[in-house]
Amino acid sequence: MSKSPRTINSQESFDALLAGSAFGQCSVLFIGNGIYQLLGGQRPEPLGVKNYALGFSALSDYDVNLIYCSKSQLQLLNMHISELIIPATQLTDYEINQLIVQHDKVLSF
Amino acid sequence: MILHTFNKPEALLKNWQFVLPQDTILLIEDGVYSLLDENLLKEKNDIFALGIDLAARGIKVAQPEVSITYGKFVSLCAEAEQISNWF
Repeated sequence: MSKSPRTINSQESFDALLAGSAFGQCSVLFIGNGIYQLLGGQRPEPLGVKNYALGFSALSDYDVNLIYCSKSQLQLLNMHISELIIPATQLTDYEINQLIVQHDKVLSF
Repeated sequence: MILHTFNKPEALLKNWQFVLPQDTILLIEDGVYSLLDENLLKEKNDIFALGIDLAARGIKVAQPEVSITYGKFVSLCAEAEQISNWF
């Protein structure tokens, strides 16, 4: 997931992840502005927007336990791993390359 | 005094050189993510961010006076000689 929260992309990708988890093992990787989706304490309701980020904490109920984010881009966005709403494993750029290679299908949002 | 609004961090990074020391900066929408860099508030400029946009994105600021309402947004626009919207 590489898009900011509250874009159609980010909400659709979350839905796709939940749907995919019904059929097989899924991993999710947050890169670029997508990492902003993981910031804890988001309250977008006054803007008239549903807070779908609350659903991230339910991912383990859908057997989605492989949650990753880019270590270098987390630093670039001045964020710290402790600020994230769910525990994500930080990966180096090389490890991200390997992660993509290991998967049969990759969906980019 | 010019009021500069920025609606994303990239807009602030790319146009920072057009902001004079006496100008005021207002961060709106995704622009509030710029405050994740704590060094930003060390700048000479008055810097504000819309409170509703900060809350929506889960961003906490150490100085409460930085977070403003829509009412203060209007006041800032009225006080400024010019308004420059960067996006």
